[in-house]
Amino acid sequence: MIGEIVMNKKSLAKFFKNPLNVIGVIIVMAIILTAVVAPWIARADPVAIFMSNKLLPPGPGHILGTDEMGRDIFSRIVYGARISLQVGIEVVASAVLIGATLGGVSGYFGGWIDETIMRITDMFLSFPSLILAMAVAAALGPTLTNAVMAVSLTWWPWYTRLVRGQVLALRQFEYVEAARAIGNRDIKIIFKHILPNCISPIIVQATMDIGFAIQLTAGLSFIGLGAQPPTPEWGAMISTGRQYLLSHWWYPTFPGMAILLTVLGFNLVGDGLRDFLDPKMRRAD
Amino acid sequence: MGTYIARRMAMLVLVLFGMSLLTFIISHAIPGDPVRLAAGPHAGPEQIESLRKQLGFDKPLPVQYMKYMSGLLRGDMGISVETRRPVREELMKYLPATVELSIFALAISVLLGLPLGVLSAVRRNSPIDHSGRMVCLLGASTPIFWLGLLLQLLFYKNLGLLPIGGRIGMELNPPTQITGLYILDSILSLDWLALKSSILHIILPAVTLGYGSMAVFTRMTRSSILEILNEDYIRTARAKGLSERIVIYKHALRNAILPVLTLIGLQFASLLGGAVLTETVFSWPGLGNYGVHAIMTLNFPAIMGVTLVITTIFVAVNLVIDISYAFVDPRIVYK
Amino acid sequence: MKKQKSLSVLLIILLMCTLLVGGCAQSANKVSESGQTANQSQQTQKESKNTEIKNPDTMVIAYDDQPTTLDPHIAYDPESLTAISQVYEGLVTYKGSSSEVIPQLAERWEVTDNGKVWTFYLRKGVKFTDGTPFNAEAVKISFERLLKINQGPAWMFDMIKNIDAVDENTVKFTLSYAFVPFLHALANPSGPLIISPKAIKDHEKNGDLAQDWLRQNMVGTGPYKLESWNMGQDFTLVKNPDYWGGWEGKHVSKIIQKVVQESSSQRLMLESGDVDFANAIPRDVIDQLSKNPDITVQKNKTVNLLNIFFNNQRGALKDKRVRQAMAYGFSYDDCINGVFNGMGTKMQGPLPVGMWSHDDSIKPYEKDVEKAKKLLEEAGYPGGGGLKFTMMVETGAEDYKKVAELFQSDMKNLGIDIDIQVLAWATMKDLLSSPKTAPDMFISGFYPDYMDPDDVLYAMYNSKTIGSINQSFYINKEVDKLLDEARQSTDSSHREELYKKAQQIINEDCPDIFILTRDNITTMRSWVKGFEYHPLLVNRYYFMYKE
Repeated sequence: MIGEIVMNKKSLAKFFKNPLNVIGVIIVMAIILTAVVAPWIARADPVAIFMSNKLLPPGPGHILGTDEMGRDIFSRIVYGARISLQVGIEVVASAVLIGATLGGVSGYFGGWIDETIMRITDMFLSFPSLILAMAVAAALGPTLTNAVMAVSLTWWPWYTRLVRGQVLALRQFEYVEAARAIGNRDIKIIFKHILPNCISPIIVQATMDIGFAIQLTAGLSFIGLGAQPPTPEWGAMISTGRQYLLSHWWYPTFPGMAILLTVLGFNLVGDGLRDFLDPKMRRAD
Repeated sequence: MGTYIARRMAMLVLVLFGMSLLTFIISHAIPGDPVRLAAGPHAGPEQIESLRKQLGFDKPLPVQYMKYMSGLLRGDMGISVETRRPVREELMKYLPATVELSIFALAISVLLGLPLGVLSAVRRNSPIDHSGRMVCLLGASTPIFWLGLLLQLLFYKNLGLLPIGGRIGMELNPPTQITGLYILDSILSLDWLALKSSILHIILPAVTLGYGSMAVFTRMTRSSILEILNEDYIRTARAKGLSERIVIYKHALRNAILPVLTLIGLQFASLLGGAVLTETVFSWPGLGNYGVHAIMTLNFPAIMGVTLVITTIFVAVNLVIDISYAFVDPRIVYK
Repeated sequence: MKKQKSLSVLLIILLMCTLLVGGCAQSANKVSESGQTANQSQQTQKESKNTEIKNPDTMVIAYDDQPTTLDPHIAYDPESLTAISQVYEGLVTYKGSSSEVIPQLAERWEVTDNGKVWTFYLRKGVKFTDGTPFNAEAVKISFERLLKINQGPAWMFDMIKNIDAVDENTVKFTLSYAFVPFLHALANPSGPLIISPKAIKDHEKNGDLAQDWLRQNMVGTGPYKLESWNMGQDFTLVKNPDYWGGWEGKHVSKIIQKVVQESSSQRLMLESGDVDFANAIPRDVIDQLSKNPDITVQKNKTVNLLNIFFNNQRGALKDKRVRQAMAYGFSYDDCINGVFNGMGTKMQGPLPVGMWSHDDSIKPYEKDVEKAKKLLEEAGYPGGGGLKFTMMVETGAEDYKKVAELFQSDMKNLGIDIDIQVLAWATMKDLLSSPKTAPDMFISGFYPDYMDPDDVLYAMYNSKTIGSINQSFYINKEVDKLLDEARQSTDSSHREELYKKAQQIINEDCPDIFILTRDNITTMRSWVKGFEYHPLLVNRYYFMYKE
């Protein structure tokens, strides 16, 4: 039986028994908090240029140093958390929305609808995702919003497969049969009875994917197809900063650590949730 | 079985056809004019138009697509706008580098990830399980350029153990081209110097690329073994009094390996397209590098070529896996 | 078995940890060492580094990209040109670092008084590497090929009407108009190079003038010849033993151009001596690197321009005062000293300082915010008046991006909003083909192909070049007239006068912001000797050796 999320005290305690889950939750909470209170903790303007302060090492005044335009790296990272979180959530939300709908429809109706949707899904799945995202980002024009759209476009098929699998399994259950027997409309059955039961695997997958989405979008910015200057986006910071790794190590290192921690945090939580919700469940491949 | 394979093959053709159309549309939707770029900064309108004609870009898009597809059937993938060489010829040079790198990276992540996964499953919730999980997830979260440069710093600069930059030492000639995979070619042509040099060159990029996908194997192996350890026949085996070691290695591992094998195929295909950043950091002359460059210079035929090759490999690998499943696992029935 | 595996896993974990921690610590050490106690580190480095020359007979050059083509009549990018100019030669060349034109394959030349007929007397006894003798016929065939292919560098020679092989060793060019900088155009490393006529004929395919073959093969008269080209990796030239210039003295017998994309990797390889030259070391790293005694950093003044181009035919930008206001609002000092680390020269008007006929009396734009605000007010945009512009920058051009960010922050002070877009060059190039699609402004560099004001002023500000190099879409009838006349005049003092007049007008019109000319920076091993900076940035490795 597919587990439903029952967040009672007992199961919460079990989740937090694993130290890594605790670490993950702490990291994620910290990043969300940082994003929310950014203006209060970062006093320096993240985009103000002071050429005379360029490439200062970490020290009083600039605890993480400054970049090549004399901007405060700490401020940029703190404000960057807002951008990264927003990106991660937007990508995953749109992927879930498209993917789950298509998957639900496909699994529920079966037949030629299923066949068509699944072939399109296969097609998108077999695209090399980074190259597809790059081409789409380039076609739409390089902005952060477009990068988000490009990444979402490569992402939804995973949810289609996942949800379709769940739906196929659920269709057999009696309460769905019963709902249908009393004359409920298809759409109502999908939304009221089937999708709610798919939620837990989606949540697990989505939590992990937020991390990967942040990584992939940062990758696009890294190549120059994402955030535009002077936006304090982590990937863009690393992209410019990497040539300073040997000479001014703090510049690429701190944004790099920000990405690492964020992705790690979401991965730990997602991975933990998966084990916890259903030890047998695997990534829906 | 035969009809199943035939159906899958038909699907494959369909998917590839859809892919080619999609790539064609997307790559031509990128604003810009590669011909203008290729004609040089001082080119006037007539020069640009004559080059456009020479490259066949003056025709309407549907005609260009038809022409491209009919060429493709003959194995002709068009001419690169930037270098004016046949794209097929260029891909033949760049693809083996990426294949070689992906194989090595895959080997590293499987050889490390699999045992770690088994161990994590057997010692579930022990410190070993936790640290194993941490190491893997760190791998999946570390920015590639960072890991790559740190490895270069450590093994090239400070220890002086490994070379960087390219696939083989520049004092050597690459081995006679047979497969394009330097390591295999140097073995086939008995060129031991080239063999040594190309192995040394591939280690760092392969580790960088492989570390990222290690997590996938560890987690998969772990959950797959855990699942099987709960199955009835394992309980029976245990009840029979077989030692835990035999239970795990003989029964559980053997059955858990199947999904992992599937993953190897999928992961290989995704490494092919995902090696871009590693290739940049290590100046590895591979497909990813070629693809990024193609997108940046709007080299349509090259963009098409790269995507088609990677997709074809991906789809083919998938097909082979599915079919081999049928032979390995008798429970699967194909209609 | 189980034990073994757990051991191996532990080992792996340990390795990973040491690797990460060790790596970080290493880079941290390195920085604090060289950053604070510079002298000390210089000392220790000098002792610890082995000074044994690696690959003594080979020059290894790290480039972040590879040549696109080896065809000298098509190539136009630095990687290709460097490779090509070791193998092919032209009739004339530049002497050392100067812009003085000296003989190469031609021994001497003369020009008629009307400037339209040039006669070149060729060097005798020169052979191509395929054994074909070099003669007037070869010159004729090569130039005809260049003009017929009509790509990349061909525009420089569109005034050639006729080429005559007068006899075996004399060739005559007849021009359709007197083009004074003709000799400079001939000294250019892209275009006017002579290919073996036999190679062109033998490898001709469907009337392609051997384009297909010459893209990856080379047959020239120069000191080196092509040995191999591993795509995406390296490119090897070996010495041409029969070179007419001879091999006495010190030379290297092999040149390898190696692709190393990451600037950090380039630095690592340069410091370890595996490469002798590195082309992509960022300016911010140069100071630190030059403390290493094994590495020599050479800075040379160039005519490599950097401008912010306005679209002179768009909205508020049509107003001269708005353009001038922005020019007065820009932080030139921050740009030159901050972004370019002082490695550049501020522009004074549209022509690089030091180029022949530069007008020293021009008053350059300096940062003057008050004046800028006043100009905006006069133009009807008090306090910026909600002006909003899009500025485009090419992907991968880090320096340009920094300049754009600085400009954006400066314009904020004037109340002008700048939206920066980073685009692939191919995309920008397309947009720039017409004032309708072009962005409001963009940043670009420009490197003249020959050392004559014609190639800066005519190329960038004559209305005839709109759609190619006049990317500010600047039209001024008077400037057109001055530049047309100067182009065809043979009287150099008259030309100078015309160019000075044009500079004054262009400076006043401010079609773009003239920022600086960037120094060329060469980072190489100290064991490289005989390096001489080439004004068009094409290193000549024949004159270099390692010691």
